[in-house]
Amino acid sequence: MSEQTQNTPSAPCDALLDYAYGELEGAAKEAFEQHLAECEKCKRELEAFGKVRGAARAALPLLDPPAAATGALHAQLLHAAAQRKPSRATTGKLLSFPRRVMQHPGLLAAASLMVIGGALGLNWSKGHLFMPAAERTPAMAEPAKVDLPKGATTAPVVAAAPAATPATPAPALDETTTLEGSLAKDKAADTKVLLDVPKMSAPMKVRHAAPPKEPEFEAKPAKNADSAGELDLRQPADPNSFGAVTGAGGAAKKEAPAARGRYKSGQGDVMNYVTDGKAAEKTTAPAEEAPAPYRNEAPAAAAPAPPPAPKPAPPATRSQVQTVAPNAGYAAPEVKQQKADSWQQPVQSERQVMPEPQAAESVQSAAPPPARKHSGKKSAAPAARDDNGIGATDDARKAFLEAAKSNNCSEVIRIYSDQTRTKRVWATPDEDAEFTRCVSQARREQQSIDNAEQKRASKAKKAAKPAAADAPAQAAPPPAKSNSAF
Amino acid sequence: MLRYREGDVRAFEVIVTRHRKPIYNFILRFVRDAAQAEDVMQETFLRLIKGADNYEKQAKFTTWMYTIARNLCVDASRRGKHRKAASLDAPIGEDEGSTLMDMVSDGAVGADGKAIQRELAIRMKQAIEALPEEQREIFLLREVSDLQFNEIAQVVGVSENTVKSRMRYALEKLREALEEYRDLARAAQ
Repeated sequence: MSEQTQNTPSAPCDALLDYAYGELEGAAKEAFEQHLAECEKCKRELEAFGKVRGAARAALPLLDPPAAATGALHAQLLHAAAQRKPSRATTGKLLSFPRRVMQHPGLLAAASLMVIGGALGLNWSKGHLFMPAAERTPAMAEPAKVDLPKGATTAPVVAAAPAATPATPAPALDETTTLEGSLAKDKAADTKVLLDVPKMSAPMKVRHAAPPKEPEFEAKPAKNADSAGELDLRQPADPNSFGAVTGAGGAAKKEAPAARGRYKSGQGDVMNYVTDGKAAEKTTAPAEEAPAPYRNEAPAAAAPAPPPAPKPAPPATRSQVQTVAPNAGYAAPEVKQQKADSWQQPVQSERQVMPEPQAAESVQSAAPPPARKHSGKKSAAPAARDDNGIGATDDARKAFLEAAKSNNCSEVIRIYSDQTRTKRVWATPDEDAEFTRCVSQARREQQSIDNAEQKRASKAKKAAKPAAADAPAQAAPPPAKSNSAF
Repeated sequence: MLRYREGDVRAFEVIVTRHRKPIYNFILRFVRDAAQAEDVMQETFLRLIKGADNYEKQAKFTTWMYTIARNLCVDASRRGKHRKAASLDAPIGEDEGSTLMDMVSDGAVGADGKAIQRELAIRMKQAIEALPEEQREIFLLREVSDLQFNEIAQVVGVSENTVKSRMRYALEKLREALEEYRDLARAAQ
């Protein structure tokens, strides 16, 4: 039996306690008073409870807290109350969770780890974990990859490109500046441009590349942020144009509108060969920083299309553009690898690292104005390079001269490209001139071949369409070939 | 309390001043030890400070405060560290300092009304302390703290009818104790 049922008297008697303690009011109080007048039991209980309450109050008087403890207790309580921070109603409930996180060391550490981990994960997912894009040197990026026309030969040309400098407009070159002078100047630069010499129909001349032309190529967007400034230069509409462009970011887009090949950001040094049948265009910015070592690069490794370098190649063109970081200790990536994200040191056999004094010397030689002549100091440089462990220099020089005498242009171009890539300063002014002549000749030959092909194509079209035989021949112009740029 | 929650420290001082005496008496009668009662009272006010942010004006502040105090008293009683048996040397009157031994030795029961009232108080106090805890806490909250039955129900966490039932039990037991004393006093006279 529960307490409730044990002590449940009649319904009016339930209000005895409420009445005894003054909790009845109004009609309920009057009703109980009427009941109390009639119920003797309730009267006795009420009287007894009153006596007990009186005795209890006498037995349990309200005592004051001890005075000694009250003062200190009071002060402590007030101190604790004063140190309490304002309630959430004052500061707002919105910031309660961040405030709680900031006040708790464990939560703060966890939040920091989450932020750092999230940032790393984001960078990892984007492939930028190791280095921001802005700090990457151009040579670390993917090497230049150029679509080549059929039967192209390789004619690497060295150009300068300070990697860390922003894009600056290239200085204007004199119209009469020869390619020879530009080539010599480029040797002291930091960016190596491997340029397949295309067929040339006219002597190459260096033109100022600054005036932007209407782009005739389709520029692919950069693959990602790492390859900012990297352009993919498509087949130019002009079949006679060829070239490779190095330059500072997107600025080189318009500096080499007719160039075909993949552009690698050189950031400051622009070398542009554009031969539209009459001229070659080249712009080189002055190289201010120490030059990077040049790497000997197999021409056949750049693309499967070109024939091996030693073989006499048809006068087609192949352009390769590759930038090399100005950092002397950094290894330019292999073209075979197509990607150069690694920081590992280069293989010494693949590259000849120029000592710092020689690099400075090379910079000096590149410093003169565009129309400069090769000095004797420059001519003495190859001997110094020969002492650098390059034993085949003399043989290569002899072979170069023999090929030049026999007018074997493809061999001249091959040897020149090999040696200039291997050694920073290899060619003498005479050799440069021979190379320039051979490049021009090869281009002219290619031009003639292309013209002949166009004529044949026109005739074939006319024969295929007898209905259009009466139409004038010029009504059906030859379509531009996508792969025969030159 | 709402003012203190908004940052008014003086409001808390008012709370302490106003409720210090009744809360101390309730705790003292509950734990039956003056030192422990001070500790529990201080802890009660500290709990009020800590819980000020969570205080919502849904219940009476007194109810909330006595709930904290009652829970602390229950914990202290369960620990039982300071629970003492009635000692003959312990002061029975807070203001006098007389002991039960004094009253027994002098044999002055019924000598005058003051002595009878004093003995009655002692008996009554012993009877209250002898109440079961569930009845005693309700009796104390009603008689000492002057809480209403519905408030007591909230503090204790039982229904109001249960509170009244326990109160009735407590009163009847105290009445029985008082009747025994009256019989004893009549016999002595």
